Amino acid sequence: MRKHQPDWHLVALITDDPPPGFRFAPHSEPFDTVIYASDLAIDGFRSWIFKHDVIEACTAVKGPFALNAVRDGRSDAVVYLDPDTCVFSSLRPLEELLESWDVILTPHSLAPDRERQAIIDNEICSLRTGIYNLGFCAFRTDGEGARFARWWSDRLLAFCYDDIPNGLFVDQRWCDHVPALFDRVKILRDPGYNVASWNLSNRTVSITTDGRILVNGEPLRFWHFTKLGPIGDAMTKRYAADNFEVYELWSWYRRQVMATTEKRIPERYWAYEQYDNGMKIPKEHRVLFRSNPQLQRTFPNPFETGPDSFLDWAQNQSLLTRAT
Amino acid sequence: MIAGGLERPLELALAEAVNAEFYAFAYGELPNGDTAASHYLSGGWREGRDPNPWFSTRTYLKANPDVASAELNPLVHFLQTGAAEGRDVAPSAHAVAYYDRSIGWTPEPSASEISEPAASEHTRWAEEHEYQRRICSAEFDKDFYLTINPDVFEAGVDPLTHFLQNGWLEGRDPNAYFSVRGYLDANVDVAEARINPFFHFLAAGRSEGRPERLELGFRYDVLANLRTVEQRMAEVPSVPYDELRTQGELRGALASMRSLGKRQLHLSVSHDDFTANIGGLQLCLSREAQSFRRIGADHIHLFPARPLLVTNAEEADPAVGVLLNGTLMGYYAASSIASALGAESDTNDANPSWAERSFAIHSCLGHNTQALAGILRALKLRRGFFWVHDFASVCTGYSLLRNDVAFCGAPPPESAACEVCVYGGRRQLQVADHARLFAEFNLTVVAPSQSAMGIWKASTSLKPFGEIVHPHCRLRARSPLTIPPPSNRLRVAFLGYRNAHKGWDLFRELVQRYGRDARYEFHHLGLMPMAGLPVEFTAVAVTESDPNAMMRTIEHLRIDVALIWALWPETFCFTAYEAIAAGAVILTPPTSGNVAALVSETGLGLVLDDEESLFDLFDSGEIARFDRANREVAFYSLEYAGMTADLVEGAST
Repeated sequence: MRKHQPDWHLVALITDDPPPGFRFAPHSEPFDTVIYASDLAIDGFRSWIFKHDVIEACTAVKGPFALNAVRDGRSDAVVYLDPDTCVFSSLRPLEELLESWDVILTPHSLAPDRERQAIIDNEICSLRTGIYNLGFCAFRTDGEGARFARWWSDRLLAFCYDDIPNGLFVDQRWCDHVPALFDRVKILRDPGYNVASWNLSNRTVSITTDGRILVNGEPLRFWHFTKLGPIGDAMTKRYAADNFEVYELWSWYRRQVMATTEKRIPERYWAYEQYDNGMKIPKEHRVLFRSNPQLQRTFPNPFETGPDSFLDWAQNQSLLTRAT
Repeated sequence: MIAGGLERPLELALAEAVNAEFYAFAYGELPNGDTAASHYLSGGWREGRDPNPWFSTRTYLKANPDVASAELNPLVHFLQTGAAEGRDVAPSAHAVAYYDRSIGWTPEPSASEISEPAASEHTRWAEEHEYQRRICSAEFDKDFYLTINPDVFEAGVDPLTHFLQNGWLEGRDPNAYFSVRGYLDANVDVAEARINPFFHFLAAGRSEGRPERLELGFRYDVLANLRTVEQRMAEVPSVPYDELRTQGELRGALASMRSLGKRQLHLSVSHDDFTANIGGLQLCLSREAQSFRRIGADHIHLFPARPLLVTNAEEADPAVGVLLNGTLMGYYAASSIASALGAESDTNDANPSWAERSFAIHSCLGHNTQALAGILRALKLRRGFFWVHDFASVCTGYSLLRNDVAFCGAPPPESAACEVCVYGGRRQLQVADHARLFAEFNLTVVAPSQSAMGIWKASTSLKPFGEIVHPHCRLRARSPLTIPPPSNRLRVAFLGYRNAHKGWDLFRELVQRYGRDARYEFHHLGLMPMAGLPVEFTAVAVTESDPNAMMRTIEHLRIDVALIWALWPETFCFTAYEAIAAGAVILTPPTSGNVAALVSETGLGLVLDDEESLFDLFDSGEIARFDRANREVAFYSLEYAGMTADLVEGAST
């Protein structure tokens, strides 16, 4: 980001807290500003975050952050990128687009699939999880961008859940509404943006002898390296086939991740994953808590354990199996 | 049941108890006239085979752990003691099928089947397993499996059983053609159903036209195993510094060398000890050394003690090996070499030898160029030659293969391509190391081919003092060595060490596609064969004492076509010259440098745009026009150059 956009203000939004014994020094990181989710002025933050698993929480905070950015007016526009994306060339075209459009979204797919398995993996998947991929979005802090931020913040504070049968998929599915609810929305149909395993069936990567990385002939702007590990790999292989340049990029990404992984942070650590007695909070507990406002009123700090705690109540009710 | 069997000799009892007809029905014919009884006794029971329809081997062992742990033959145990002790038996899993085939009879469910659901699960598994075994055995390659899996070989278990029980789950392949992981990747439903992919393929998949693997290309594997430059450097062992010799010892050797009063001295520098390693470049250096000695010159050769394969920026004074007139004198710190040479190399009235001096840098890899400059200065050398055998002076990726998979074209160092390449991070450092020598000394760049010079000049920012193209060898017409009998199949060969740069993976793919095609015969001439492919292997080693070994073998085997699919722009490919010299033609891509240039100049072969074009030629059979019987065949011998000796001699006259 620094290399390609030296004049952008880089903010890290962290929905976590450093683990005990780990000293995090934000000033030594390449971000201009570090904001913690707990600083976003979310009412009843601990109770609110208890209702969300890690993916739900990390996606939900984008809404309140967007609203804060609109309110403090320090920037003209905001570009959001998931942490598993990497920028390979200038994003200046986005700045140009934001002169005339107030909200920019990238769809998961830009072209119909032809093979049955691809239709199932890609098109049907986005019918479940959202047409637009929210590993990226961009919006102005005025006009329709401001209206979008307000609306998105309201929805994500109340309904940012993974509940596909009921039409909810965290922050992403909500954005299916955006072209209908707001004006000056740009659906960015350039194959160089948000390239990922779900659109590789229709995108070919090439690398020129003058050193540029192209996708369907257009410059690669950013890649979304989703699901690093066996699953990402299976989907990538399935759709990249022998387009080996894709594997070059993945190989590079793995090396970058290995080089920057902080080994002192435990694998899969999250500050909000445990009750205060160290027991991991099962998803069913979160779901039970969030679906019952009475419980939320009775137990304002659900992370607490001991007598008269939420955990105690739930276990006494035998409504939940004891987690091992 | 045999009630009175306990009083009869065991062999007779077994002969009755083991039903040969049943055994053949369930498990197929036995090899070499083995009888069912002896097979069952000697090991068939360990494989879980049942001796007859009424006795399930596995169930008996499971129900009687004392028998199992004592490793007793269960049928023998039952006949000798078990029956009298009232131990139960359960019917074989094959009983139904066996009886069903003739009289439509099914047995009553036995008590043990009802009360022991685990046993019937076991028999279901055994039944399924036997069926899978029968389907898989025809194409399972036992020898391949045991070669590839030495742990299975050592355990002494039946390889097919191992494969069916565990091997496939561990991703182990049943033969050289079928990939377990590949089939599962390409057939998602089979993976989700957790079926043995080889079994699925043979039983159904093949006739359904299922893909055997995702066509990921060989570059996928190269990238999956790609190591960074730092990782490779870390693998090079360090030099125990107590093995280094002293300046004094080298001075002594130098003084003794000078006492013979040779007029000329030549210094060469490369990445290794050419007297100890085999390879095209090593043979070139050997010829250079011999050529200088023939004209009465002394020769010093320097090579790094640690074969780093990048310039050594981390050690200011690394250990360097010294050859004096071809003899290894030992390893010295670079500074010791500079001091010793500084002290022992003055030309004056007292010591007029070494009045004429030259140097040639064939490679800086492994050297610290600062230290090397010190050595050159100590010898008061100002002008020399820099050979472009590879593109190490352009990038740490000296083959200009981005991530070892594709010719990169040496793009600008700040480009996205260099960003994602394993070699990109250290590129500028290595170029700077070379630039130091170009700045301080007048280096005439020598390339062994026009194509190498062209690429070097287009890719570098270094400023040479001069440029020369000087091939390592030339072709001179000769008559054939032998007239081998004609063949009715086109003979296609891969020549040399099987690595990706040289196109081995494409050759292997060609073999996998056409290895069983009656029109073609595939050969590999080199040092190390690969198991499991329908390729005829002939060992060939090109050495100083037998430099024509490859050429002679190509001619003797009557190879029609050589696949020289170099992925990088070869600066000079001896193999290509050897192939042409022996009467073969070459198939190569346009980016293979000197190989493509040679094919274009001579017309001996084809420069093909891509791999698809290659497969088209074999599919259609058009490639057969290169059969020796269908064309004019010319033979050549190779006239080797004297390397730098040719250039220095020319300069001095």
